[in-house]
Amino acid sequence: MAKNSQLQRLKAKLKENGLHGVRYASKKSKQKAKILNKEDDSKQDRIQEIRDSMNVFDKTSKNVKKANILVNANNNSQSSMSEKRQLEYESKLMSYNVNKANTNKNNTFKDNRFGERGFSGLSEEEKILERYKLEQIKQFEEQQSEIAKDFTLNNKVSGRKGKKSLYNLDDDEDDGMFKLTHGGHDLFEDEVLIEARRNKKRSVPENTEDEVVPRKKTKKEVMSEIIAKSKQYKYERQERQNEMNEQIMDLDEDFEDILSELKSTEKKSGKPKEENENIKFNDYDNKVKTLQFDKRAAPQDRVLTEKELQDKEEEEKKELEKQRELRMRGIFNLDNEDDERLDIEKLDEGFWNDEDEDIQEGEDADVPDSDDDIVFDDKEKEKGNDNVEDISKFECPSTHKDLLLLLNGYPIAEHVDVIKKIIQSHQPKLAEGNDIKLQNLTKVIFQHLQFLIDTMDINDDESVEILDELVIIFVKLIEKYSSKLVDFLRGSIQSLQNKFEESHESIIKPSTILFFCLIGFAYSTSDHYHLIVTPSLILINEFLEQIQYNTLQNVKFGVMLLEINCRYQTLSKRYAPESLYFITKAIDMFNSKNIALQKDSDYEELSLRKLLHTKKGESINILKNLLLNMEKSLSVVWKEKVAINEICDILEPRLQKLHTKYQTIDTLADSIKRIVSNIDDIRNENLHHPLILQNHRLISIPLITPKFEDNFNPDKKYNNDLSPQQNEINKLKKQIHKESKFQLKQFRKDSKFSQELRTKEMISDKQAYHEKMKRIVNTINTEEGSERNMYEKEKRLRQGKK
Amino acid sequence: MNTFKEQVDDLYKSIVDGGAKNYNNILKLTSFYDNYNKDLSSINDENEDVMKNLRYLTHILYKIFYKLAIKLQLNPSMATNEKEAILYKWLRKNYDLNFKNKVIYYYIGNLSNENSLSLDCIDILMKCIELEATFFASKMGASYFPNKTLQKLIITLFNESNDDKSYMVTHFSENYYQKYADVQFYFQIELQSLFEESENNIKLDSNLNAGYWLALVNHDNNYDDKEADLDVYVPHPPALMENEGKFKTAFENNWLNILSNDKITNEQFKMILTILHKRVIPRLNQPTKLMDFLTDCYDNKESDLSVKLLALNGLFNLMHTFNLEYPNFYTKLYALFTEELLHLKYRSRFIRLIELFLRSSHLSINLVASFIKKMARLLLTASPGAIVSILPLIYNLLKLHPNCMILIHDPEYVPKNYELYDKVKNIKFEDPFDLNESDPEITDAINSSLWEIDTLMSHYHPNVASLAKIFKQPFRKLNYNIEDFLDWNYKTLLENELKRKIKILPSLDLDENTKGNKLFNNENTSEKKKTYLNTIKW
Repeated sequence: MAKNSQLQRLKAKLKENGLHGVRYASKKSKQKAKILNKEDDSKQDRIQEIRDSMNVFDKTSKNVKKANILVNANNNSQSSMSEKRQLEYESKLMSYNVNKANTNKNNTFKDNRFGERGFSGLSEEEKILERYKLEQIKQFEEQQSEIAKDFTLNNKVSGRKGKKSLYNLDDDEDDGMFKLTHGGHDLFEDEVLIEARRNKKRSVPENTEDEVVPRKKTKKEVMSEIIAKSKQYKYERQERQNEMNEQIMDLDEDFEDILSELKSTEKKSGKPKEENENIKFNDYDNKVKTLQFDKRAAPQDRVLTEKELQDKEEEEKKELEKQRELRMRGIFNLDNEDDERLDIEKLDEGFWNDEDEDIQEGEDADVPDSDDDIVFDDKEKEKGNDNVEDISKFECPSTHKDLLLLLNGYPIAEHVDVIKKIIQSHQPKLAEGNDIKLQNLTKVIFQHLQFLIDTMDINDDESVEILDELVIIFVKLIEKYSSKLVDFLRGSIQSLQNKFEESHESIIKPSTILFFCLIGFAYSTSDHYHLIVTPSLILINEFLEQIQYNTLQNVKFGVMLLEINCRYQTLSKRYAPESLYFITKAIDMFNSKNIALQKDSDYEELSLRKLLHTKKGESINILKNLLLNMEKSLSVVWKEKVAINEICDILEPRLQKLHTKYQTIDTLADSIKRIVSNIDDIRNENLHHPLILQNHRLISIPLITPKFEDNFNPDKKYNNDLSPQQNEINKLKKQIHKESKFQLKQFRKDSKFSQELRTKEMISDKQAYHEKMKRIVNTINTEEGSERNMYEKEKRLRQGKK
Repeated sequence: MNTFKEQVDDLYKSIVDGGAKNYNNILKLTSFYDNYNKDLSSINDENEDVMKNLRYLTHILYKIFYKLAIKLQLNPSMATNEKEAILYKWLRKNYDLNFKNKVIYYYIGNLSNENSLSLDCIDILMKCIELEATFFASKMGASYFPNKTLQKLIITLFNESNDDKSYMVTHFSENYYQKYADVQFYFQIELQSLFEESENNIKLDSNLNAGYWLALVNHDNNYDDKEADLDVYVPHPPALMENEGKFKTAFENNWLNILSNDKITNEQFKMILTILHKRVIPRLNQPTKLMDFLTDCYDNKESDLSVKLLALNGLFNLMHTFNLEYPNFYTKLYALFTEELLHLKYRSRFIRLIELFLRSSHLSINLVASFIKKMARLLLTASPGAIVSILPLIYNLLKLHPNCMILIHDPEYVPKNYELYDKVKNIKFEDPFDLNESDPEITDAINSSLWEIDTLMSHYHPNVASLAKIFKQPFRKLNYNIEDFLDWNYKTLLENELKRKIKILPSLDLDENTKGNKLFNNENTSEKKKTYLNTIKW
């Protein structure tokens, strides 16, 4: 039967060793046992052995795989767990005790002086003696080195080498370096002293032996040299000081004389001065108070010279130009710092609506200045006064109809004056609401201009001047109210588009051209994006592309649009495909149709008023204009484009055709020739390199090269994704993690241990206290008891006596 | 004097109440028409009295015949004795000749101006068809369709005349043809037989007929459409109507007949081509019969560019679904890229197709590069709408055929590549692209570059310019959905602009140096002031 139980096995083992089942019943056997006791050691060993073999859990066998074999050989592979624990416990206990002893004992002062630190079995007297000795030795050593130095320096410095005391604070030969001392000692020289003390039995001159030999200067020597030098300088300085003192003394002696002379003059003026000051002092506070409320003086605007004015103007222009360029590149926010930003902020909050605008307008109207005035040249004003009646009569017309009614009563020549009067009588500063009236007037004048150009008699050359002046008025007004006219102009653009959709012919009118001209004239057409110019551009180009250019009149209209389209881009040089398209269409028309172009007429500008009255003979003039504008487009816009060659490819064959057709007309042939040669020049200059649009910064692609293991082991796990460095890093990280975990565990263990100890201590303290109290109570009780007993005895005795 | 209406009412009453002996009054009623027919021009919508009377008269007559039909007195085969048979035959003759021929067909066919009477007549004729179908069958409840009556209507409608009868055709189409399957079926069958007839009542070479035909078939509610929601007009349609093949054949023949009409107008022709791929080809028995027609349209050098574009659509449909072999397809496609191409109305339809054709990754780079280069060239004169739809297409093509990237980026000319660049730095680059070469495989476009696109980066419209700038950026987008870009035109662009909120106020620029101080030159002044525009004067 297998003995499975631990206890059974233990019993069997003990029996085997004869430690079990023996009973020492008799005295004899007891004696025997005593004898046996002598073998106690061996017996104890055996018991221990049995215990070890039986207690499986108390042993750890090291992992053979990992452990070094050699180490294993030396170490007992089977170490007792309990022993280890015991050791650990003891060490912990010790550290705990030490810590406990040290608690609340921080910041203790440690005297590092000789004999104070560490062990020194010296009495106070001996200590002092030792210190004295050390001092002597040091001084001697220094003297020796000094002498040696003197020799080597060949007495360069006639140094006075007096005795040097270690504690001599007056010593000028101080190193010049500030040293921390304690009790006159350098704090860091202790070691030297101890060394010296150890060597105190050595003969003193030993140190000098090696210094007899000529050698390089020690640091100390160099230092002393420097010191000597500085001393010399110091001495010289002192000399100079003395000299100066003497001079001052001389001057001081003279001072008495000067003073006496001064005194005689001072007395005369001294008294009245004091009186004045007194009065002033009384007024002073008041004056200060009044001055405090006074407006501070500010420098007046200087009257600028003509040149400065010019400069200023130029500066302003430059600033404007800069802003324009920014707008051209599509950067808007930098325009007008504060106002603009405010607007943009409002936008961000989504507050921009009509109400807001109204409020703004109202605010503007509240504080009109004379700056808001619309001023015309003085000459005209005077002229106007004669013809037109009192200005207060005029109402500001709010619609075009009103204006027409108003103007009906005056001859055409006075219309401009009337309008000027209206404006003057409604200057914003004169009355509230005038601002809005003038805004309306701007719209009305705009409409009036268009109306005039459409209805004007073709032969009426005189009224042209009115148009010019009206344009000037309009520009002046729009300068002020441009922002308020946005909706109006956008509405006009929309209505033009609607009309165009209904019938392409309906917009071929002088007013359409005038509309675009005025917009281009007033607004900044180079902007990257513009609320009015961009839609206008779309419209112009739509007309250019979609109108059928089969009649002279339409072509004339197109030529005008072409010039406007080109004019819009003079600064920004943007490309409009429709312009080119129109030119090809127009040239095709001139190429194909048999238009009477026989007679050569003079070049004449196209007349806007006569747009709808195209005569047949005009065709040559239109063609000339077309060529002129084409040349302009070529030189202004297309020339700068990369695809200029391609543009020329489209144009050139048509021009050649045109040239052959109209060879007979000299002026035409010349201008065509000129354009063709222009095109050739441009082509020759242009290198026309292929595009490099995708010239971006190169982006590196991770390059993965195959890695070969020399001794590839299929069982081993390889981490191919990582570089060796990364591997190393990962390993270290892991280790750190492991260790920190271990350390944390350790800390917890420690704190638990100390906690346990502390509680134990506390409990024992409490117990001790309770016991003490008990004892005291007991003693009191016993004493009281005995006293009572005594008392009872006494009582009984007395009673008994009775 | 009794009013016209009273007279008619009296006669009507006598006929309805008086029985057979008063039937002669029908003749009296029909004779009323003679007064009006003397002067046909007086019958128009302006003469309200005349119209009213005629309408009322016609209506009453129909009512009378309807009453008679209910009594089965119009169907001689229903007669029980000889006497009745004679009466019935007389009545029937009256109905056919005096009423239908003299009145209805007469007014449908002979009134020159658009008027409401003709429309009413069509309505009444259709009612007659219903009546006939119900009562004229050999026996009650037998399936019958009065195809002769319908045929007569077709003849009257399609008969050659100088008058435009499209308003009637539209009326017929909207109210009957598009609603009733049996009407459609018999219409096609009858029309086919009419076309085939040797004596030819219908002249093919009339431009009006094609218009009538289009008015009838240009819709999506056809007899053979699965999802079409169609009713049956007559109460007992014959079983023949279920024969879809017959309908298709008739439909196809009619189409071919119409298409062979050489008087067809250009507008109608384009219209036919636009609906061809959707509303015609799927309904034909043998769509390949259209092949010749389409290839002819497509190949014909004289035909309009838009006709070619439209023919291409149908042609593609045939190639795609019916495996039509078409040689030199891409060469002919390439030939379509002419200067007008991007200015046509059918631009977006074409671009859609082009995208489809060039999507194949098996095309040679030479070919793709030629197409790209040609499109880019056309963009130099294109409208913003066209530019906006072509640019994403080019982007997609470049993405699909990365070899073509050299068109926008030639590494040889990157200044950083010193070795390469130094060689070519000062040499003028000769563009090898041959614009006039008709074969896209040998234009040498791949060795050229897309300068046109670079130029478009400075387009006057800021959005177009920024779209062109996508070619400057890294090609990170997979591709663009062309559909998103096809619908732009001037109108939508402008609307978009005008819808914008006022964020930044419009800036003025009144600089006299750049703008001058006057708008135009004055006519008479010789001194040249600086003016805004130089070639225009007031």
